[in-house]
Amino acid sequence: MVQAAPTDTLVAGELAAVRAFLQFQGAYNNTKITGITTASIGDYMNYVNNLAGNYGAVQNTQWKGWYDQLFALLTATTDVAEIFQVMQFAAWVGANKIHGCPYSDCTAQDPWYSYWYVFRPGHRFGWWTNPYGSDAHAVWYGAQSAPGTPPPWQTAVQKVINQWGDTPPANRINVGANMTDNQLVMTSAQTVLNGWTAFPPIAQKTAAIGQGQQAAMTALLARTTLDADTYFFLLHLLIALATGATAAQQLAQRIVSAIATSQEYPNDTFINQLVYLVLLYLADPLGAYAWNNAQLQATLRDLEGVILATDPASTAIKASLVQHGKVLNSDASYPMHDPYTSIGFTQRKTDTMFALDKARQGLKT
Amino acid sequence: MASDSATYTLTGADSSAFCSLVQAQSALGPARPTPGQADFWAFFAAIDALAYDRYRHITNALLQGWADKLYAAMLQTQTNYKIDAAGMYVLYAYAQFAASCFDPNNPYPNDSCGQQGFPTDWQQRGGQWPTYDDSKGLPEASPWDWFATAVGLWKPPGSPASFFNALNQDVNVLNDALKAAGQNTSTVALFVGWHGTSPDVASVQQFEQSRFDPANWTNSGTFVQNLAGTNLWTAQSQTATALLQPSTLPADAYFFLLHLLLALPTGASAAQQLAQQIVSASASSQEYPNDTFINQLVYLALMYLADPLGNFAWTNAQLIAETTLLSGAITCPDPASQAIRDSLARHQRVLQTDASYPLQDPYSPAIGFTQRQTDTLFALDKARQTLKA
Repeated sequence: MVQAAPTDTLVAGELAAVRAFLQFQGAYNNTKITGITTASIGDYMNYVNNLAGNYGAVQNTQWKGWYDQLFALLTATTDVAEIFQVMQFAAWVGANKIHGCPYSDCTAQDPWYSYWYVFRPGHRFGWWTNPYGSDAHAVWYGAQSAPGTPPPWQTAVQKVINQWGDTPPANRINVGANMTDNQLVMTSAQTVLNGWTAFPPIAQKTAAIGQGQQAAMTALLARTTLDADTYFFLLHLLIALATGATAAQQLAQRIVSAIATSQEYPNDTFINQLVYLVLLYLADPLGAYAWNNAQLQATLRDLEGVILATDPASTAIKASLVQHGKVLNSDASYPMHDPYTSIGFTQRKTDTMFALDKARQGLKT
Repeated sequence: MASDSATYTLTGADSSAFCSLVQAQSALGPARPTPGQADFWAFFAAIDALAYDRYRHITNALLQGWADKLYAAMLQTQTNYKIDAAGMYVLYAYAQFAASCFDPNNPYPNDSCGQQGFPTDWQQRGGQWPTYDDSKGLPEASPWDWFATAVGLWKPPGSPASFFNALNQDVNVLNDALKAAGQNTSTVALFVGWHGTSPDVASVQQFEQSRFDPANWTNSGTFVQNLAGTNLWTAQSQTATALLQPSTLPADAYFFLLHLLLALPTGASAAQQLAQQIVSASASSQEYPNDTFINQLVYLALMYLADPLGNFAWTNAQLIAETTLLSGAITCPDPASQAIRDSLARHQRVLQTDASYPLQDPYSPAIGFTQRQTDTLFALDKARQTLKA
C-alpha cells in the first residue's frame, strides 16, 4: 500500500475550514465569477472574512496553498483591504446609532469628530448627561481591527488602518461635518461599494485556484493505489472541482459517474463507492477518527451543505451523500455493519478501496 | 474442572468496588516503593469512593475480604498525629468539605453544600449519624465545628462498622487535641480559625493535604508496611494462579480475572511479571487468530456483559461506561497495565462507532453471538493451559 503523502490527508480539526473554502467556491463558482458585478461585493467580502477566520485551522498543505493563493490575489492591490475597511466601518455604524447631537446638545467626555473617529481603535464616545437632565449615560467604543490571519491579509488591512489614521481618503470614507447620522454614513459607504469597479476583475482572477485543484485531481488519478485517507481528501477535492470551469466540471462528472465494482456493490458508481469508503474510513475504530453514527451523519450533512452548485457532478455528489445519510439514519451500526451485505468490515473496506483504485485506472488522462 | 461460579461472580457494583480497591492498591502498593503526598492522598480518595458508594454493595466474598484488608491496615496503624490511619480519612473528608462545600461568608453550610453536591448526599451514599462525643466539640473552631462537632454535618460512612467506629473515635481524639492545644493548633492535624473566624477554604485544603506528606506524616512508612503485611497482594497472586489451573472457566470467572489483572501490577515484580505473562499470551479463535489473551479477555467480558440472556444485558452506553471505569483504575506504568489499557481503549472505540457491538461484530458479521462467545471462551481456556505454572 502506498503511504499517503501529508498533502493528501485531512485531520478533524481542519474539516470546517476546508468546508468553508468549498462553500465559498460553491457560492462563487466559475459561472458566478464570470458574470460577477459590484452587487455581490458585500456577500463576497463576508465569505472572505469567514475564510480569514478559518485560515489558522488549515493543516493540509495543498489546501493551505489554495487559501494562500486566494489571499495573495486579493492583496495584490490595496483595493480589497480598503474596501474591507469601508465594509467593516459600515457594519459597525449600522449597529451603533449614537444618540444625541455630537456638537451642541450633549456632553462628550472625549472629542467627537465623526463616526469614523469613534470607530478607530482605542477611541470612544461618551455621553453622560442626556437632554432630559437625568444621569443616564452611554458609551460607544470603536471596533476597527485587522484580521488575525492570514498574514498577508492581516498586513494589508493593518497597513490601510495605519495609513488612513483619523483622516481616511474622501473617496473611501466621508468624514464630513454633515455625517452625524448613521444612515447617512451607511448610504455613503454603499455608494463607495457600488462605485468599486475594480471588484469584478479582481474576483475573476481567483478562478485560477480551480486550475490548481484540477491539476491536483489529475495527479491523484494517476497514482496506482490510494489510502482511505487520501480518498477522503479526494471527496473534498471532487466537490471543489465541480465548481470550476467547464473542463474541471467535465472531469468531475467523469469521475463521479465512472463505474466502480466491488463484490458488495457490483456496477455501482465511483461517487457511491467513494462516499461508502469515506464512511468506513471515518468509522474505523482503529483509524484516526473512530466516529460514531451521529458524527458520521453530521459530516454528511455538513458536506451536503457546502454543495451549492447545480451542475451534474455536484448534483450526483449531493445525491450520494443524501443516500448514505439515509442509511446512517435508519441503521445506527452502519457502516460497521452493512444491511445489504454480510461481509465483514475489514473486507468491505479493502474491497471498496480496490474498486476505487481500479476505477481510477480508467480515468487517467 | 469448572470453578465454583459464586466464588468469582461479580455484580456491576462489585466491579465498581473492585476498581476502587485497585486504585487504592495502586497508590500505596509494592509497585510504588516510595509514595509521596499525592499517592497517600490518592489512596484516601479511593477509600472515599469505596467507603461511601461501593463497599456496602459488595456481594463477592473474595472482593470483600480483600477490601477488609485495607480497612484492617488503617485501623491497625497509629500515626504521629495521635489518630490511626483511618483518621487520615477524617482529614481527607474535612479538606474536601472545606474545599467544595463550606463558604466562610455563609457559615451555615446547608444551602451551599446542597448546591455544590459535596457532601450533601453523605447519607444517601451510606453515611450514618455520627457517634462521636458532642461534648468534646469546640464551637469556636471553624470550619471544623461545621464539619464534626455538635452542629457538624458530616455523616461518616456506615460500613464496615469497625471503620465507622474508628472514624468517630478519631474525631474524639482530634477534638481532645484541639482542646488541649488551646488556640495553638500547630501540633494538631487540623487547620481552623478561632472564635467564628474561618480561614479561607484553600488554606484549609492545602494544610490538610500537606498532612499526607511523609515529611509531616513522619511514620507513614509504617502504614505502607502494614498494608503490605496484610498479604493482600499475595492473596491476589495466588487467586490468579488458581484461576489458571482449571481446564475451563465460565465467563463470569473470566470477568473476575480481568479485574484481577488490573490489581496484579500494583504488586511486586513477580506479580507484575505474572500479569504480563497472562496478558501477552497468544490466544487464537477463528474470529481473531493469533490475538493476545488480553484482547480475547476484554472481548469476552463485553460479550458477557452484553448477553441479553445473561445477568447484565447491558446496553452500549453501559459497556462504554464499564470500559471507562476499568481504564480509570489503571495508574501503573508497567507493560501489563499498558497492554490492558490499550485493549480497553481499542474495544471502547469499537463500541463508540458500533452501537450493536459486541452482539454483532463488524469484523466477523457472519458468525453469530453465541458461537463467538463459545469460540472466545475456548481460545482463552486453551491459552490458560500454556500459562499453568
